[in-house]
Amino acid sequence: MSAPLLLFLATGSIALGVTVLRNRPKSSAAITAIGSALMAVFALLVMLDDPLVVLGLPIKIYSTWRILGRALVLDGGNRAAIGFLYLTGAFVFGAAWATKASRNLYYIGLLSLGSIAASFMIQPFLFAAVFLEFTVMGAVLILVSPEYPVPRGGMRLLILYTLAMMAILLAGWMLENVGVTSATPELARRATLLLAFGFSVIMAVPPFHLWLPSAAGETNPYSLAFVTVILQSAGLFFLLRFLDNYAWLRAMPELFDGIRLVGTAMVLFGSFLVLAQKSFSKVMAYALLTDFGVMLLSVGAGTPEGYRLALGLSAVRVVSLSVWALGLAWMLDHPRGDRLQLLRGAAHRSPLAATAALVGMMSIAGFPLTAGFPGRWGLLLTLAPLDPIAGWAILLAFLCVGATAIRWAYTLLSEPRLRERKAINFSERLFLGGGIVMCLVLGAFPQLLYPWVVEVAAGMTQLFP
Amino acid sequence: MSWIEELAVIPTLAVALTGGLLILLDNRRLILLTLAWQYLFVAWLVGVTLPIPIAAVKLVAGLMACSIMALTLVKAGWPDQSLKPHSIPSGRVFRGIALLLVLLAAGGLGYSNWISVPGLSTAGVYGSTILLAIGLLHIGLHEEPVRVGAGLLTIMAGFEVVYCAIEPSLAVMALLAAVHLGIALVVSYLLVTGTDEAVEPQVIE
Repeated sequence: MSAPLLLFLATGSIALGVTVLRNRPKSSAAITAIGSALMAVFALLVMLDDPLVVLGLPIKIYSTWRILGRALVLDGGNRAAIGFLYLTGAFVFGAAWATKASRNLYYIGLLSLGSIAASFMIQPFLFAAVFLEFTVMGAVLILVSPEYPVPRGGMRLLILYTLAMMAILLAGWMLENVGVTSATPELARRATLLLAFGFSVIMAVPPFHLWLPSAAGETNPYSLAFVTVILQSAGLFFLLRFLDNYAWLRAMPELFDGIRLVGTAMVLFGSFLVLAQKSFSKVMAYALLTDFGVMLLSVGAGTPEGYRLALGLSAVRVVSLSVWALGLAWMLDHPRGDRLQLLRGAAHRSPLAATAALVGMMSIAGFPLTAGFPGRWGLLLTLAPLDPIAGWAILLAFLCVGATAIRWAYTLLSEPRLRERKAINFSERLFLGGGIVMCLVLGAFPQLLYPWVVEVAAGMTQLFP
Repeated sequence: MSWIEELAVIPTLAVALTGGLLILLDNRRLILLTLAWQYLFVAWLVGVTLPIPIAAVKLVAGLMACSIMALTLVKAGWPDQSLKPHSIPSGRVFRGIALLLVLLAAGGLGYSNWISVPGLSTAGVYGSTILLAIGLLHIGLHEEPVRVGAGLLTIMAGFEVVYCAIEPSLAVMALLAAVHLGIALVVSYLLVTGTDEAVEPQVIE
């Protein structure tokens, strides 16, 4: 039996099992979260290609699964990333029941994780683009639901990723078969252009971010958080694998300058637009855009330290964004009730949820003592001497998203629109409180997360010599 | 040279015709029927560079994608049978002019062999360029799921005419066929679940 096949069978079986549990969000959340965690443990700890004895039976789990002439391989280069991915899923699924998210989030979310895992394992890795396309198909089904039926954001996401997939596949063919190197500048230029387009879509670089604000206004915030977290994590890993595999790409001096320029532009774009939003979900979308920009800035540093920080920021986003989205989704009285006027005084009705939303937002902004701060601070110290403009952009992002957080805190704390408190049970209190504590603990003790996350890239020997 | 290669100009012209019809038609039934015919000619274009049985896979996958969308619409009783886009200029004249411009641009690009893929016939270059251009026009003009689906499938078909010539592996064929089916499934889901606009909540003071 091969490990990738086992992983897919387990993912598929759990997803199938969850489809039976209609209208039982707590059970669905528990099963998907536990299943995801178990698969993370399997990916991280399973002994590959060595005989072992289970319940007295000798078995051997192979690292490779060959199908239709291609191979899916679980090895030291990707098992930490797959483990991280499934743990992210476990973390997000665990609290999903409290958010009134569509039931698609559970089983299609799990299948989407399987698809991303396949994108990590496929050899040659260029075909990962096709699996990212499958993930996006799942993402559309998660974003659009009977409660949130407007499909605009989902359709834009599907269109953009389909185009990106084609660009990356063509670029991949050029790289693998035509022999693109630094000695073939014309071909290298073509391949770089295709890759730049593909990764601009995957990294939501404006104007290819358009799906994000559209979806933000029209979908459950927690579902959106899940989709952005998994797509961005997969996209970052894919980008790092490209950089790791192609020396000529790393050797292009203008590449990292270009990535930093794009990152700076994204940060500025997101920072200014976040100030103008009157919907809390759209604030989340533009704050995320600044966060993606900051992540690109750390990749653009072009140093192992920068790549580590990018991975760390990606992991921190899982916690910060989930807590923000959890708080926001819990506060909403209506599927589209995230407008400024509708949330006025919401902190009086749901104090814990409002606190969670604000703490998550402050963490995305990079406030001191929140999970987002250590990564931003580390990046500022690394990047400011190399590129002062990028350093200023990081500070500007902090100021703009921070100012927006203060403005929304004022709104949430102002005179309530409705006076009665929203009922909250013990488990909801536990998840909301736990999320807030986690954001603060990771801010105070970043060493709990960062060293472990860096292991995700252990297999990229060229980037992390 | 087999008759498939000798007569390759026929599918090239045919995809221009079917693509044009996809842009101009407003009836969902006719759009899906045209899309199904388009797959026949796409398979022909693929058949110029690959063996016929493999090209037939494209046809089968495409017909299945069309069937999925058609079955969904049949089950829903063909709602909003006549599509009238409202966010973008929607008249037939406007679409016709846009189509002409795009076809001219595609012809120019095809003439310059912009793809420069070894082993791809001239008909393949023209055919794929026309499909890609018309598909892009389609998704640029419309936001309705069936139309977006038809546009995406047209773009995918154009891409595959090129990609199958350079990466003829079985796994890639299967994956790309799955992408066609996946797009059709997503469009079907959106047809069943999605609406154009959600109800705005009222502020109660």
